[in-house]
Amino acid sequence: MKQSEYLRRLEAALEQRLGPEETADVLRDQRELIADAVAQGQTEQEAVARMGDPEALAQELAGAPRQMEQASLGRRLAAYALDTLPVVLAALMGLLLFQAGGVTGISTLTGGVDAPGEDGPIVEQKLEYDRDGQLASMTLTVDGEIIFLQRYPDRAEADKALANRGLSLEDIDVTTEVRPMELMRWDVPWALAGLWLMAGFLALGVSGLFTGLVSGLAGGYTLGRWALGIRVAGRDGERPGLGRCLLRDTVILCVAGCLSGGIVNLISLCMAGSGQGLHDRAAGTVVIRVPRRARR
Amino acid sequence: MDAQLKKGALPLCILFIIRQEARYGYEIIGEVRAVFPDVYDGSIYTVLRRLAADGYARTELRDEPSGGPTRKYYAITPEGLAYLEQLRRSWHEMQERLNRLGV
Repeated sequence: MKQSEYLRRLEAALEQRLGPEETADVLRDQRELIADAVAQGQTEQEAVARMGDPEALAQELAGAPRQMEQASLGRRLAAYALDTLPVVLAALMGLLLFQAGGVTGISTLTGGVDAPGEDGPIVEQKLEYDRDGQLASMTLTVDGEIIFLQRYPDRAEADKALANRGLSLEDIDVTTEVRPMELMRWDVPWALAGLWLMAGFLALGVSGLFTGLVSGLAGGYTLGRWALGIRVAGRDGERPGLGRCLLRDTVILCVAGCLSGGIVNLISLCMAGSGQGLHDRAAGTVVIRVPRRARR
Repeated sequence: MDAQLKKGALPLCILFIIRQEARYGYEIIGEVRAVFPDVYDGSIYTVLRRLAADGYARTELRDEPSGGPTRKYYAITPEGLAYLEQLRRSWHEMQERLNRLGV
């Protein structure tokens, strides 16, 4: 190793552990010692080799790890709030927009019923209801061909249309019900709560990416941490580096955020009798069963 | 030789070397290396620096005459002399005890 490289590595290792004045003083001493060794007839390489490993020397010089005061939970949370505030605000805006648009809009809820029908044609019925819950229209199709379509239908006539084909109500394979979206009273809060939670987890992930990048480049600081006088550091108080920051903030928080979001959704799915998870409630969808022969 | 033993002996050696007059870094390292050739210069320097930080030695930058380099000289302090005495006594006592054991 050349003197210049040795000194450069030593400086880098010292900067993480000692103050700038002490670092400069050590570097001055090292130059003097190497120069004296060279003056005594050693080559630069020999003199540097006899010094030992620069990182090990920096560690020896720093001695026991510097006393570090751990940041209090309050400061950490405050810094975290500062750093995530912009993302959370954006999520909140989205939530308000959703509330404004989502409740007034009319969507459809579809439900499926499957019945035995391994052989013979595929019989489908589509039932549309009005806002009062009355059956507003009924469509019967056999293999895609409409055999019956009536507004405010007469059930007996529907039965007759089926009977003409040698079928009965028993043979209906798929039922699709269409109703004006009536988010039940408790459905709106559920959907909002779900969105809110997901926005929160998204915020975790996005801000994780943000803080990971910033603190990686700024030696463990983000704006919030800087304002609160705390920073992320390695065990010896050294700067954590971009890789570690990205691992800490971005990967872990993103994955944890996505996972916990998924788990919350799973729990909501298990709790919901209708089979609508948070995501279903929010989007007004449901997952239905499709018989094998009706699959397209 | 055992690294721990050597490390423990270095402060005693260094204080002994500078007990009478101020010496500069490379001189001190050279004398220590004459006895412990397998110790890194960096390790000796670390001990030297710690002795100065603990107040057992004081340092002074001196310009060598006729345009020579600027060198840092290490001189022992009264605390350093007392510490040297203490280390010497400890060392002799250690020798004595081990002798008694027949090591």
